[in-house]
Amino acid sequence: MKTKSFLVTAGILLLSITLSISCSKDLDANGSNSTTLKLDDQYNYMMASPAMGQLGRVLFYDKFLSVNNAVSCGSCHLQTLAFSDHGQFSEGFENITTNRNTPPIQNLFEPDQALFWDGRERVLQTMVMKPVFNHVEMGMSNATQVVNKVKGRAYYEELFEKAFGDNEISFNRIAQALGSFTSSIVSQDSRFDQNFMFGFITPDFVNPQMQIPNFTPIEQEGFGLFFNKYNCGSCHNLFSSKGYGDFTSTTAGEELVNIGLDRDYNDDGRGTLTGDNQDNGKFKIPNLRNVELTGPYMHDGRFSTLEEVIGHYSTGIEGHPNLDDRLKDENGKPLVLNITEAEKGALVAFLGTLTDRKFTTDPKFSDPFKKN
Amino acid sequence: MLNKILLCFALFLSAVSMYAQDYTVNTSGAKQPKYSHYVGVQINPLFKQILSLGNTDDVDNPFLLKYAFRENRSKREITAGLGYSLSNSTDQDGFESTNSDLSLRVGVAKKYDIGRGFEVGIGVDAIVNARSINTVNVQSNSFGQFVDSTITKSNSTLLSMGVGPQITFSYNITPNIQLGTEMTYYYQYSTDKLNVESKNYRSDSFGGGTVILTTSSVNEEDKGNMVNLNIPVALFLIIRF
Repeated sequence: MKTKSFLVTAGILLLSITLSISCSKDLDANGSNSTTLKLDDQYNYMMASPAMGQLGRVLFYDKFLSVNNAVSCGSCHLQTLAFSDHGQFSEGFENITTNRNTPPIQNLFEPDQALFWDGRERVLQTMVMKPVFNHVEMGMSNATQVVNKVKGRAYYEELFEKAFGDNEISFNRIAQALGSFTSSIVSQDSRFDQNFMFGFITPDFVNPQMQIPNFTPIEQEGFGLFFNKYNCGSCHNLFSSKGYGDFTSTTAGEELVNIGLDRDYNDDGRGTLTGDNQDNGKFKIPNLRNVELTGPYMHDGRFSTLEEVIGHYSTGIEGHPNLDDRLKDENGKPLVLNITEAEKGALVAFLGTLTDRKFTTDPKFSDPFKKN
Repeated sequence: MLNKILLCFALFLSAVSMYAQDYTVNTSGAKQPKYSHYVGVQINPLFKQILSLGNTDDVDNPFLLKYAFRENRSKREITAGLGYSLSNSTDQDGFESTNSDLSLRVGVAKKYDIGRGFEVGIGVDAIVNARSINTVNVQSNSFGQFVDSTITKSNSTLLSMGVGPQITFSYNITPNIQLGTEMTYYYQYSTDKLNVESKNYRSDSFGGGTVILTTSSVNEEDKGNMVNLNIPVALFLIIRF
């Protein structure tokens, strides 16, 4: 018996050691990141002069803004994915994962909107430097360190000269350039936007019977489900470029909501920031522009697909003291929408009309460090 | 440092095993060992592998193995835990990262039978955690007449030590096999060090191919306290022998 127990134990120990030591080597033949910075093209940016936009673009993609030159803003905010990431969590300068899913960057030009999942910032120019100093993301410790690293790169003198009229490199100027570029990342050319622009869809008149140009029948059906039957638009205001509320609203109640993901949240979101129990489980309403590209979804990337997200609203809403009223029935219980599989398919098809392919391939937002 | 900690742990295990050979006679007359060894292995990673639970939350409990040396009559235990992980990766840009993490704990505990094969325990642990991350990054940027090549090496270490209570809950599947979980609340003092060394070679092709070498370094140290609560989600398969 003792021998048998010993053998079983030894087997389990061996298995656990095998599991705990995970070595994955994928050595690159070159072993280096050799790039050429080409800035011959001049682009027009929505919220910045061409020179300011160009400087911000270089800073956005420059890995030298991280403490060990390993990651840039663009490492986690990938243009092809509407400046989001494809992982549940992203990896910082030491390959340690962040604790929240990378949100997309798009349409942040409207002033005073909630930034980050918990709305901790409202000023874009301040927000853009936060990941630079985050001890997991880019690891820089102070403003002087950032300025010195930028000064150490040969190409910045000329870029600052063009953007500001002289070659002084300061922390405020770095933040200003990054903020200007980030606010210029605008998506407004999806098929939905085109129909909105030409008046086929208006916020005051959403008629599911009306045939919308460029929409397939299933997309049209999804449109009706989104705005009428399931009233998704009450939170996700697709007529606002920021994706929620109306054009002027900035109140926290409309921007940060609890959608009943859990009865007891591991990450209390806004509540962690404010210490107020009434904020527990509240996160920013995400902008649904390009949503088919920005998965996994939710603050913790728990849902891999849009079908799973819709499944949550169908039968998965949990009761929580802070659950948003829009997700409660008349008795105050979590809504059970029982969305059918066919309806889920139609909703997903409609959400696909929010994809702006020009935005994800526009060279003015692309990485200027071209691989050799 | 890691070798010393591992050596101490091995000595601790071998020392307690010397006392596990005595037998005593229980009241029913059957021969029962005076002492028992319990070895537990965390099975969550195994389940995750088998069930391919890709997007599930990782269990925070770093202890993959745990050990207890029990005096059977009093059900008092000397306990220990060990966790170690090592990962090495290189991405397509040649950024290489090696991450190792070692967790050790020793403590004392007392177990109580609560009937129907269930057992609860309460104890106190002392814990040490050592984490090291090394990165190597080589970059070469061309801009106009300049070519910048930079080699950056970083090393960060986090050493934390602390104490805290532990509550365990287990079920006897057979007299020698248990399934258990635990909840811990550790107060830890930590020292976080980051060292980054960077060498930059700049060549100016219009200036006669001049090569300028600059070096820069970052040395930072942070000290702080943290409280670490592990809720009972880690499952252990425990074998008695």
